[in-house]
Amino acid sequence: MDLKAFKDKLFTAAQAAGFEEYELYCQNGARTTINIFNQEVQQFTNAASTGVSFRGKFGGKMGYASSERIDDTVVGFLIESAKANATIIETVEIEELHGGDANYPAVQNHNSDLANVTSEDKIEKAMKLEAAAKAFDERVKAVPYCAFVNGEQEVLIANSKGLDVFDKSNHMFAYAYCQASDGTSTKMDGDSHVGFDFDKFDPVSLGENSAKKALESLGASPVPSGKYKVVLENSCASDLLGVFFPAFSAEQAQKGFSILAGKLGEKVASDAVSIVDDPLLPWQVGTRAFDSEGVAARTKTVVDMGTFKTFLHNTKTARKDGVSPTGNGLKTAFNAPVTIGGTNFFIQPSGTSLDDLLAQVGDGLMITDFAGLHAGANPVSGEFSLQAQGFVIKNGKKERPVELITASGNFFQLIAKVEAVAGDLKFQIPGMHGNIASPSLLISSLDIAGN
Amino acid sequence: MLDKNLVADVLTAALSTGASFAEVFVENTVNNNIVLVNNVVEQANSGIEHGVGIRIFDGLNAVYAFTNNMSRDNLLRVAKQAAGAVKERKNTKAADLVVLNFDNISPMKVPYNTIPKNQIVDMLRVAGKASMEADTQITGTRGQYLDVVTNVLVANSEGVWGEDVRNRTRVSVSAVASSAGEKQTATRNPGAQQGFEFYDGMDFAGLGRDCAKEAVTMLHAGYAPSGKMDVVIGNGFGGVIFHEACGHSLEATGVAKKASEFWDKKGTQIANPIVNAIDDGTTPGAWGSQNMDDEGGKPRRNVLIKDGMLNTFLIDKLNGLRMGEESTGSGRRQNYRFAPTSRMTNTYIDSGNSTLNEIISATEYGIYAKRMGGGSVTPATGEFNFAVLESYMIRNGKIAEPVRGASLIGRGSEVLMNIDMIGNDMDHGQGMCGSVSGSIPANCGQPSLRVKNILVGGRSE
Repeated sequence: MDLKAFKDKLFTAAQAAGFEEYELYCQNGARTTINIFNQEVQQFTNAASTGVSFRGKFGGKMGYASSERIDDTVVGFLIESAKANATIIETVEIEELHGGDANYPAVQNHNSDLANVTSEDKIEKAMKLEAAAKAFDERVKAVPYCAFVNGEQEVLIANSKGLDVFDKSNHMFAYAYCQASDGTSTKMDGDSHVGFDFDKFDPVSLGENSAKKALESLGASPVPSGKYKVVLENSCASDLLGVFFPAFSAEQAQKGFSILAGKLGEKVASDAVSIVDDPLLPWQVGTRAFDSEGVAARTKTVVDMGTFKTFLHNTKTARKDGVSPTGNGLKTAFNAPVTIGGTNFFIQPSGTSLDDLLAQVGDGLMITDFAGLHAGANPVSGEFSLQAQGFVIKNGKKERPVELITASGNFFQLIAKVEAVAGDLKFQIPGMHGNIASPSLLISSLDIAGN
Repeated sequence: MLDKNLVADVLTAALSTGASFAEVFVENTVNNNIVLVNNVVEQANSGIEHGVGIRIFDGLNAVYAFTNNMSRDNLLRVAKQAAGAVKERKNTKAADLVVLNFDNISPMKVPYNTIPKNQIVDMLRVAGKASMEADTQITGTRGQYLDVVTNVLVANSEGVWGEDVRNRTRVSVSAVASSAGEKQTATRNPGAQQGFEFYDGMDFAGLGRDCAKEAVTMLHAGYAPSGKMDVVIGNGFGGVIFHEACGHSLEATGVAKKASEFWDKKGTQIANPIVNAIDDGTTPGAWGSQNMDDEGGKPRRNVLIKDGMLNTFLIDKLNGLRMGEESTGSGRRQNYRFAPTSRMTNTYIDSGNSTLNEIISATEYGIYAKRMGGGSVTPATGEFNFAVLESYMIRNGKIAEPVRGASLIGRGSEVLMNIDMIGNDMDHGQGMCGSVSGSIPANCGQPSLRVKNILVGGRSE
């Protein structure tokens, strides 16, 4: 069914049902995934999906309903369910629809050249990626996870208060995870690439990097338990920031689930740490002109040289705190309610190289990977205890690989112990809280459990 | 859900370029979700998920496509487009579709949509209130209710036509305890593939009090020590240790690629002889059960480990072809957006002979990991980790002070050999398990058991 006709029908029904205000959020997505194994396309996936989410205010409360079926029969379901859901809402916080902003920034998040790449070309590069990883060294036994993914998405939001916005974005990513073995030790590791320019994606260098990462950790063993001076490599520092992102959400703070509640204007991290949420960065996956409520996107400094400057807000939390929304009212999926997410949320890099950071450590540890982040870290308390791997640092250089250790601590104590930040900021494949990244960080002390 | 002639035409279109096998998976899901924060209803959402996944085997590879647009023209177009990527030239003909008959082992006696939403809110509120009243250090609560009814149709070119209705419901209640700058949470989240009758007689006040007690206990606990020691793992969701340390590595997903530490270990001893492990998708009403799997296969009770010997892997159709073995009824997927692969259902370590008391008494020094959180594993290396939510020191054979912040890590092949005492207090817990075919409901279960000499990651502050 034509989306415009569906919207008109839905809005007419919403008005007749007595909704005071109402909104349609529509998401259209297309995605191609190419999985390669042993130089064959093990799975080729072509996906097309459309979903609509309706929200409406009834009796002063906002009710939600969504559907992936878009036809006449669904209008009744959306209206009735949203009404029933609104009826039981008790929260006293006022949720109001946003009527739109005067100006929306122009952003770079759709590359039409990428949209025109053929399946054959994608398969060819994905094949090269696996081949390069395998050919790099005979100890690379297999590349169990090797894929190229290309996605395109359209978002349309329209409501009874006059909002009518549309955005179209695309991106690509590729990854290779290699299984390396030298007969006694087996390790899995790899690397990924995220971007918008198919021609700039070099599958050979990604494949070789992936192989290097797996090979480097062969023969790893634990270190003795104790406190270590540690460098968190960019990818695992990013993972950690992603897990504790909810602490920066005004929604979590207002509900009493953020350790940062009441700390605005206070020192929460070391001088070396500045955190920015920048939806206007060109060619990043989190780049956008407006959030999921239609609020115009803008750049915010969240932590300025250790001082906590602002929570991230949607319209509801901003109203409660008496501040302006920050354009962070985001949905994790078309059918999820609006919560708070990061756009391009990152720790500001410095001019220091990773090698300089290692030299500053002298003797210590470099952590390159955390596992089990969904289970071993508590976003409310800030505590984490995570399986880790990496390297012993001796005289400022990587000495030998380390595995099966755990790193434990509290994230909010950890960011106060950042002595230096490197310049190697790298955005990875985005997680559930947004496009979150960090350069490598030098931490003065971290608890390690080993042998 | 879809007209039989249309499905037959879609299968024929999918086979039109010479593939050996084609499958259509149709889904319509209706779900409802209610969230209470501090006992106030914050969110209520309802949704329909609706789509078709078309899968074609191309030799030992696959082409997968999905769409929400169920019109005849679109489905035939998607099927033909997918067929265009096929290289095989087997020229198979689709067999006549024959309806699969099976019993509904998880019927919904009281349909969810007959329950007024207010009644659900009141039920959750009992838990929140009990948490707040249990201790003055409880500063917040959260309650969540979910129900999901999914209609599925699996049809394939071998003539399978299987229609099923799946219903599951779950509540999650948690309490936050706070003191100067510190917070601890505790959660209980029972679920089942049953109708609303699942909640008959459920003690919500008890769930709320349990959360409060655990959160407050952990708020005042010191940090767990670090290093290798004996760990007694509590019953029920404690079975996540087997799920992570071994279960995922027995899935054909990794085994077929030789990307599992157990791929060549069938028939050999991989665990202490006292260990028996089972994956049983046939338990009536259980969180991870299925009437038919997502490929139209019959779920089974698969004995994974018998007296310490690796007995069988968990196998789906395509990986079965790759391995030259039959499917074990283990093909599962989150929804139509995912091609199915081999997954766990209700997985557990079977009962032993010891009482929990005997196990604790036999342990000189170590940790009693009473309640486990989730974890993860890299099947290729067997390295796993999981979080402990509620734990206590064991000293001189007795449970001593509470400790927090512990995680357990190791290699599956080592930890299975080091399980040296198994209790008789079998129980199961509910989890959501994530892997390449998405997030699916799975039970983890076990009696209390002891693992010798496992690495505990704690803190020395």
